[in-house]
Amino acid sequence: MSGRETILIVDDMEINRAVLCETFKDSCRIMEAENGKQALEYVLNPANRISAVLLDIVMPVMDGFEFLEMLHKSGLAGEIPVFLITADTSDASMRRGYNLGVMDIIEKPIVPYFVKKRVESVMELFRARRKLNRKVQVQSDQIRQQEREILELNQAIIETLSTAIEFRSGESGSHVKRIRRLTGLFLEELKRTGKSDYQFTDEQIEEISLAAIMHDVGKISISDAILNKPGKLTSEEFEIMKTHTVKGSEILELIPQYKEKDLYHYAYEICRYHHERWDGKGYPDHLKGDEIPIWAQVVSIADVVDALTNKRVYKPAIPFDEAAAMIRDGQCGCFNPDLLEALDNCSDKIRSGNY
Amino acid sequence: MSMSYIEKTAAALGENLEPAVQRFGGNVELYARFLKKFPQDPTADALAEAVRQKNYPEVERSAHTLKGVAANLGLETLRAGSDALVQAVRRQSFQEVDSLYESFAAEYARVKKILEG
Repeated sequence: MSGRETILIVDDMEINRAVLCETFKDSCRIMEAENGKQALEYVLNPANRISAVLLDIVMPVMDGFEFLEMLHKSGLAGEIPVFLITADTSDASMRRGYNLGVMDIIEKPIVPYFVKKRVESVMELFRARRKLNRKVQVQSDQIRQQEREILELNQAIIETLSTAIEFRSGESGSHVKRIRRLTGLFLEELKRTGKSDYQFTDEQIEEISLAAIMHDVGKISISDAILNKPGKLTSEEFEIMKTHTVKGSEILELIPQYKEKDLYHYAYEICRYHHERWDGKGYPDHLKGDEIPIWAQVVSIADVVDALTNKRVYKPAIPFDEAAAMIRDGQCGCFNPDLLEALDNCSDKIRSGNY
Repeated sequence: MSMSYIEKTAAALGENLEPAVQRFGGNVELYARFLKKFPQDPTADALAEAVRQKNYPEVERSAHTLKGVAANLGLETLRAGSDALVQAVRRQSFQEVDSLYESFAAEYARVKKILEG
C-alpha cells in the first residue's frame, strides 16, 4: 500500500495553510481545514485516510486543544500523529499539547526543511508500526487456527484411546460416543431447571462430556480373565473389578497436563466416583449425596442407562421405558432425585436416540 | 514576477525577506500574492477596535494572529510589535497596551503604504 499519504493542514489563516502546503505538496496529498470542527469531520471520515495532522491552536469555532480532546474521545488519537504548529510556545501551552498526545510542537514561523524532516520521520514511525500490527494480526489468526486444530486432535486422541480400552471389555466405539452425548444431555437438562448448582457454562458442559469418555480408563489394569468372565464374579474378583475406579484416577494423575487442565480434574473425579451411590453405599470412597461431584453422578446414571438399553454379551437390550422404571425403582443403583427427574424429562430424546 | 519586486520591497521595508521566500518553497509568485493581500487583512481593524473598547481578550487574540501572519511574511518589526502587545495583555499590564498599540499602528501604516504602492 505504498504511495502518497494524506496530510491534513488545519489553520484559520490561509497564509499559514499556504506555507505548509508548499512544504508538503511534493511528497503528500493535502487536505485543508479552517477550524477544529471541520478538521474533526475530515479526520473521522475513514475514506479520507488521513495519516497526519498539522494543527494550529488559535482558531474560531473549535480551537486546536478542543480538537485534540475530541480526537482522544474518538479513540483515534493513538493512530494518527498530530503536530502542533503554533506561534504560542509558552510553557503552559506546550505542556497542554504534549499531555493531549501531540507528537511534536513546531514553532511558527516555520522553516520548511526542518518541519518536513520532523513530520516525515514520525510518519515513517507510524507506517512501520502499522505494518507490524498487521503482521501480528496475521500471526495471531494463524495461532488461533492452530489452537483449534490441536483441540480437535486432542479430542480425537481421547476418544480413540478410550474406545480401545473399552473394546477390551466388549464395549464398542459407539458406546463411548453415546456416553459423551448422554452426559451432555443430562447436564443441559440440569442447567435448564435453573438451580444454581447446575449453571454450567457451555464450555464446562463440553469439557465434562469429553472427560466422561475416560470413565473406564482404569479397566486397562484389570486382567482379561476377570474383565471378560462369562459368568458371575466371585466376591474377590468383584473387589478387584471395583479397583478400576481408583486405578483409573491414578493413571490420570500421571499425565503431565493433569494439574493445569480442568478436563483432567473432571476426568479424575468421574473415573474415581462414577460407582458411588447417592445413599453412600457405593465405592471406592463411600461418598454420600452431594459429596459426590455432580459430573460423576451424571456419568454414573448415563453409564447405567446405556448399559441397560444396549445389547451386551451377557444380556439383550432392554427397552428404554423398562430400563427407566428399573432405575427409578432403585434396582440399578441409587441416584440423586434431581437426576431421576432429569431422566424423566429426557425420556423422549433418549428413547428416540435423539441426543 | 521577478525577484526585483521582492528586492525593492525589502529595501523599502528595511527587512530581509529571503527567509520568507524560502518558507514559501521559493515560490516567489505565491509569496508576493500573500504580501499584497496583507494590507487587506481585517485582523488589523479588529485589533484597533479591540484596543479602543479595551477588550483585552480580543486584543490578545488579534495581535496573536497578526504576529503569525507577519512572521510568515518576514515582516519582523510588525511581528515584534504584535508580540509585545500579546505579552502585555498576558502580563495584565493593560496601561502599556495603548502606547504599544500606537507604535504598532504607526509601523503597520508604513508597511501598508509600501505594499499597496
